[in-house]
This record gives sequence, structure tokens and C-alpha cells, in this order.
Amino acid sequence: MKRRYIILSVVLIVLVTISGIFIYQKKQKVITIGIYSDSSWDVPNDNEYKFIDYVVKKFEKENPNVKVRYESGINKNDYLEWLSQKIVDNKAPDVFIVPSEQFGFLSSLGTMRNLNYFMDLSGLNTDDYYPTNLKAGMSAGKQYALPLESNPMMMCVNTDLLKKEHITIPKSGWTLNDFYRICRQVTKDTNHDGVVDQFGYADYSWKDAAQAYNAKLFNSQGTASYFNSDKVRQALTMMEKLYNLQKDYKVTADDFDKGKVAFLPMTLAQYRTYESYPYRVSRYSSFSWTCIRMPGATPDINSTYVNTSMVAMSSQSTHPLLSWKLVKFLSNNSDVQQKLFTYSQGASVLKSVMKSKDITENLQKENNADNALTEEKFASIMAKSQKYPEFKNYNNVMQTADYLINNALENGNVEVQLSNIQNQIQEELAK
Amino acid sequence: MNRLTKATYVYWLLVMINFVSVMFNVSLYLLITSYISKKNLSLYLLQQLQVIPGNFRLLFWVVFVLFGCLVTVIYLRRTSTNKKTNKLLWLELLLIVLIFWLTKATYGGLVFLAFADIFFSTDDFHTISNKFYWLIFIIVASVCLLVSNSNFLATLISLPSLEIYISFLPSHVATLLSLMRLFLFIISIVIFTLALFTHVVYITNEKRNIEEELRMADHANVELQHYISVAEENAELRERKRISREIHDTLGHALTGISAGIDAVLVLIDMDKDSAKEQLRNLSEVVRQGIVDVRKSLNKMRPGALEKLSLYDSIVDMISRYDNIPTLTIDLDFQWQGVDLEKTTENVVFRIIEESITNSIRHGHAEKIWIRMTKDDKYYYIEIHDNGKGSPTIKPGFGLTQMQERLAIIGGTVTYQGDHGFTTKIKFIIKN
Repeated sequence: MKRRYIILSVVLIVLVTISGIFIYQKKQKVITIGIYSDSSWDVPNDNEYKFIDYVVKKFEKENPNVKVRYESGINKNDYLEWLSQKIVDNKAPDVFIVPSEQFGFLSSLGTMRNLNYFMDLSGLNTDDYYPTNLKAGMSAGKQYALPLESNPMMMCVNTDLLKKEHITIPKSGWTLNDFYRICRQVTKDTNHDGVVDQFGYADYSWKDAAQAYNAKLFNSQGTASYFNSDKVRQALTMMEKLYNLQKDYKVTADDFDKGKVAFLPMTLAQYRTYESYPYRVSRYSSFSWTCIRMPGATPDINSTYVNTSMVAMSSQSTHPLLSWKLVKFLSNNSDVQQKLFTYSQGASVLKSVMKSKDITENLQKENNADNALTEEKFASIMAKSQKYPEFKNYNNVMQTADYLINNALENGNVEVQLSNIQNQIQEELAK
Repeated sequence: MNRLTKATYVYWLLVMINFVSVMFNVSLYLLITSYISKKNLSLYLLQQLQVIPGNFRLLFWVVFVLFGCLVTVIYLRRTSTNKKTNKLLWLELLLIVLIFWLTKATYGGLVFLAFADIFFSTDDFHTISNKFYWLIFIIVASVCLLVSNSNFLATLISLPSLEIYISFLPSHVATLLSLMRLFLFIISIVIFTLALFTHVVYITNEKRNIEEELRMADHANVELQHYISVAEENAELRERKRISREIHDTLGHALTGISAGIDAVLVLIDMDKDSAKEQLRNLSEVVRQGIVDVRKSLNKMRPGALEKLSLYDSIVDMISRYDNIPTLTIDLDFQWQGVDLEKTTENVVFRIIEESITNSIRHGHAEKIWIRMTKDDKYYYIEIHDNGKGSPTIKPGFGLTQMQERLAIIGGTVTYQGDHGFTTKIKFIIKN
């Protein structure tokens, strides 16, 4: 008698559970996504919501009982504030875009769910990605966000100018010494009016130099800085030499546009928009140019910084499985990634997409054929790439460091100031 | 329980103040969050926090319900009397820790509630006098107090600190709220101290009352002892009087009659032999009557039980009178079935067993007494053994002497053994 009751109740519970799951499955679910309208890379973007609309439509088609909602009209500049508001109100979108420079801040607060479990569960192949992109969404060994789009830093070279000076165009494995040598060689007064009118570089900063030496500026928690380490010292000494080459002149990207500068560091997004409307009309570039990877102190150093925009699942999400589906869909679906390449200006984070014919053709169409960025070149840049450091107030601390070091370069006393700078940065970190 | 009312009232006051404080703190989170949202200060808030704030609306109700559970458990524990209360205490502490954790350690006063629980549920102050126990208690208490400070805790784990939330309010409101929080904390300390104080006073009073009662009981005991000896003396005296009266009434009369009769026979025997014979027959009758009288008197002195019951039943009846001593068990092994003893012998046997049990209880403080009554072809045996203190050297007092004397009447012997409890062995011969 007793056993019969037990069996009956077990059967009842199983039935209720199954029907509950069935009803839940059938019920229409709404997941929200946090997204901004403009480009992640501070370049003009007129495709505003084309990409996300495409994603939403495709995702809803594949998952019939799911609706994806997003709030429009948020600029990238207001995005963090908007997201913060949502998080504080406990109404964070299930899935949200994480701009490269906000990852440290958002991950330190625990706003994103650890994705490792979901990655294992769905058998996501991490080899699909460029390692640097994948690492960008990692903190303390845990994957909090999957890469969405990447934007590596490259060095643009005015090939006409180098040819004129009988200098061979550097290959991808070039070094900082090559860079300095060429800069010194091209810095001259070409029309002999007593004013230097041809320069080696524009916009090359001490941060690029530090990266060229692979100098570690902070520890991973952002609690210690190493500004008076040997590598930083070497990098800043080199920077001082470069600075002194053209210290009396303010060389800008404009001068590069005018064909007066040999090298200009540029992101891929800037490169892709460089020759396209509306920039093309405003520029009078009559020289040919190409892109190579950033110089390193030695050829094997990861000298190229890569910005990666990411997509993450909110830790406040009540639909983790669906949210993960959407995250994976955005990051790992090659159709989606291809569309992203078309509508945005960065590079895809999937190796397979970057290798596809469409993308190669697209890249060639955007720039003139002879100096176009090829997949091989892109792969070689990505192979020697490095993600930006991330911790909660990295951006603030870097601003201070920038100010102090540029001041020291201007005054020509970097060597003397370095320990002082280190102390001030350390103080800033302790705040 | 009733006498604990004062301490109980203070304890419930402590529970109440904890409830108010906890809900106050959680409400602050809720209210300040909406203030921050309205003022668009969310990003600034997140920049100062170490971890994202949770869902405070949910938290509010969860904490509310949990506190309800806590109050129920406390009530159940304090009203129930059985031993299960220990498990409830653990449940109670678990709930307190859970609430403390959920409220992001904002209110350290909960620690006092936990202390009060542990302290009040320890009735046995003898174990507390153990120094080790106190050392552990002090260490745990200090660590808890330290941990209950949210500023300290924030250095160990990430917490959305309430102080940061409060700092977003206009300064005068912030100051007022901080003061209120401090005030609630201090109130809880004061009430906790008061609760401890009343509890200690209660415990001390209790102890004194018990001592007082013990002293009174002691006094009564001495008086009773005195009364017993007086009563014993009285009884003895009364018995003596009765015996002398009996002797006077029975033997005295008979002997007087006999002596007078014999005198008459002495005169008659020479004059009238037949009359003398007649007289002697009369005398014989008087003697027989005397014997009946003496027997009657002796019967009067027999124990009441024996008058109506058999020896076995009277012994069982006598043993049953000790049933009201819960620590004492008496084991009777009676193997004298079908034995028909003389009244005098039964009397002696009964008295000896009674005396032995009394001795075992009074002098030996025994908890178990074995009585074995056996026989063989020649002798009857009685063995009375107890697990009491025994007595290495036996000095026969009044009781033992009397026992020996009584036995002598029926021709029995007695031996004693005082190690491993006390053993009395008796044997007397079987008369045909």
C-alpha cells in the first residue's frame, strides 16, 4: 500500500516536471541585449543598427519562441553610464557588448557571468579564434566575455617617400632600431629653406615604444606599477631619441596625409575607413602606402596592441542558457561575423572568416589593390599581438602616466624623472 | 520558566532591536539605490563599489521572511522543554549567519544575538567553569566581532558597502543616517548587556535559592532524626510496659493461681487424696490456660503482617514497602516452599531479614540487595547480600546483637562479611 503511494507520487512529480518544462519551452521568452549605435573604434559608422537588426532577425528565426530586444539611441560615450544604471537597478540586459577599454572595470565588479562552463557544455572550439582576441575576455583565467570584433594597431608606411629616399620597405619582422634608423634618415629639409619638412613618424607614443620592448607597466591586479624597470627605461630612452629627432616640430596625422611623414600608427578600423567616404574627399593623398606590424625591440616581441570588443552575459540574467546561445551566436557564427565585417570597420575574431574569399575581396575593394591588407599580413600581425592590460581604473592611471611622461619627454629629463613618475603612478593606483 | 520572565523580556527586546536594525539597513540599500538611479549617479557608484549590488527588492523580502523563521525557531526553542532544542540552536545560529551574510555584513549587532543565544542556552555553568571552554568562547567572540565590522570584512571579500551608498546622499542626510545606524548598534549593545546581566542575576538567584532549600532540608532532616530516636524510645517504653502488663496479666495470674493451688494441694494431699487429685487437675488446667495466655501474648507481639499472611507473603509485602526508593532494588530468592515453621521461628526470620535490609540501606547505602533463602537436609539457610559500602571491621551494635540473641532462641548461628558489600549468613537446624 505504502509502496504504491510512493510510486504514484513519483510518477506525478515526473509528470508535473515534464509538463512544466514543456510549457516553459513553449512560452515565448524575451532576452535583452545592450548595444551602442556607433562604432567601437571611434571611426565614422553609418550602419548604426543594420548589424544588430540582422542578428536579431536571424536569431529569432533560429529560435522561434525567443524575442530579442534592444534599446536604441545609446552612443558609445553614454554606453557605460547607461549600462551602470541598468546594473544598479538590477535590470542589466541579459547580453551586452563590452567595449575593449571597459572590460577591466566590468569584470572587476562581477557584472559578467563566467562562461567557461557554457563553453565546455556547448563544445565551443577556442581554436576558432585568434588567441589574443580570446584572451581579451579573460580575467584571472576565467572567460567572462567572448570576442566580437577586433581592431589591431598597425604601422602605416608612406612607400613613395621611402622609395624616394632609396630605403627598402621594412618587412613584418622589423625592429625598433630599423624604425629609428629610417626616421633619422628621412628627417630632413627637402626644399632647403631651413625648415625641416620631412619627418619620420607621427603619433608614435611612449606606449608604443614600451610595447615594442614588451615592458610590463602594471601587474595584472592593477596594484603595482613598474615604471622604473629596465625595459621601461630602455623604451623611454629610445622614445627620447625618437622625440628628439623632431622635437621642434609638432608632427600630426595631417602631415602624414600630406605625404610628409614616413610612418603613422593606425588601427585597422582607421585603415579601413581611411580611403573611404567621407574621408577620401577631404584628403589629398597622392602617395601609395601600406601597413605592416608595429616594430619590436627584437623581431619576436608581441609588439602589436589589439583592441577587442566583446560580448558577455550579465550575471543578473535570468535566462542564462538562451543568453549564452546569443553570445555564442554573435561571437562564433561565421555568417554573423561576416556581416559584422561588412557593417563595421574592425576585423572578425574568427580565423575562418578572415580567410574567406568575401573578406579578402572586400579588403581589396576598400583599398587600392597593390597595398591592400591581405589575410597573411593580418595573420602575421595578429600572431605578434597583445591585448591591452585591464584592471578597474587602468584608463585613469594611464592618463596620469601619459601626462607625466610626455612632460618629462618635453623637458628632456625622462631618466631623472622616472622614479618620481613611478611613485606618482603607484600613488594613483592605491587610490 | 516563569521566574525567567525578566531575562526573557530583555532577550525578546534584543531580537526586536535586531529585526529593526536589519530591516533598516536593507531598506537603506533599497531607498538609496532608487535615489542614485534618479540622480543618474549609477556609474559613479559602480566605480566606487568592488562588486555589483544584488537585487535589493528581493533581498528585502528574503531577509524579512528569514527573520520570521528565526523568530519562530527562537520561540519554539524557548518554549519546548525536551532535548531537541540543541538542534534548534544550531538552526538558529545558521539563520543568523545567513541573514548576516545576505545583508552584506552591514549590521554587526547580529553577533550579540548569536552570543545571547549561546549564553542563555548554556544552563550548566559547571562545564563553563572549564577554562578551555572560556578561552574558545572569547576567541570565537572576538573573531566574530571583528568580522562583523563591514569595513574589515570588505578587505577580505568584495561587498557592496552600505557606507558607500550612504555617501551618495546629501551630507546632512548621510550624517543623520550614519548616526541612526550607530544609535541602533549601541542600543543593541546596551540591551545585550542588560540581557546578560539579568540572566546572570537569575542564575545566581537560582543557585542561592537552591542552597537555601538545601539548608532547610538539612535542618528538617536533623529534627526528623531526633524525632525518630525519641519515637523509638517511646515505642520501646510502651512495648516494655505492654510486655510487663501482659506478663502480669497472664503469667502473673497463672503463677499466682498455681502457687496458691500447690499450697492447697500440700495441705489436702494428706487429708483427702481425691480432693488433692481434683485440685491438681484444676492446677493443670490453670497451667494449660496460662500457656494459652502466654501464646496469645506472644502472638500479639508478632509483626502485623505475619498475623494474617504466610512468611513468604509477609516478606514480599515488607520488600514492597521499599518500592518508593527508586534507586533500590531487592531481589528475593525464596526456596522454602512448603516449609511449616513455628510462629516464633517465622517471627525471628522475619525480624532478621527486616533488620538486615534496614542496615543495608542505612549503613551501607546499598542500591541492590539479594536475599536467598535455601535449605538442605539438616539446615535452613538465609543469605542477605548487598552492594553497599560494606564494613571492613564489624563492630556488633544493638541491631546485630539483637539479631544474635533472637537467633539463639531458635538455635541458629549468624556470620557476617564486610568486604564487597555486606553479607549476612544465617543457618539454623531443621526440627522434626
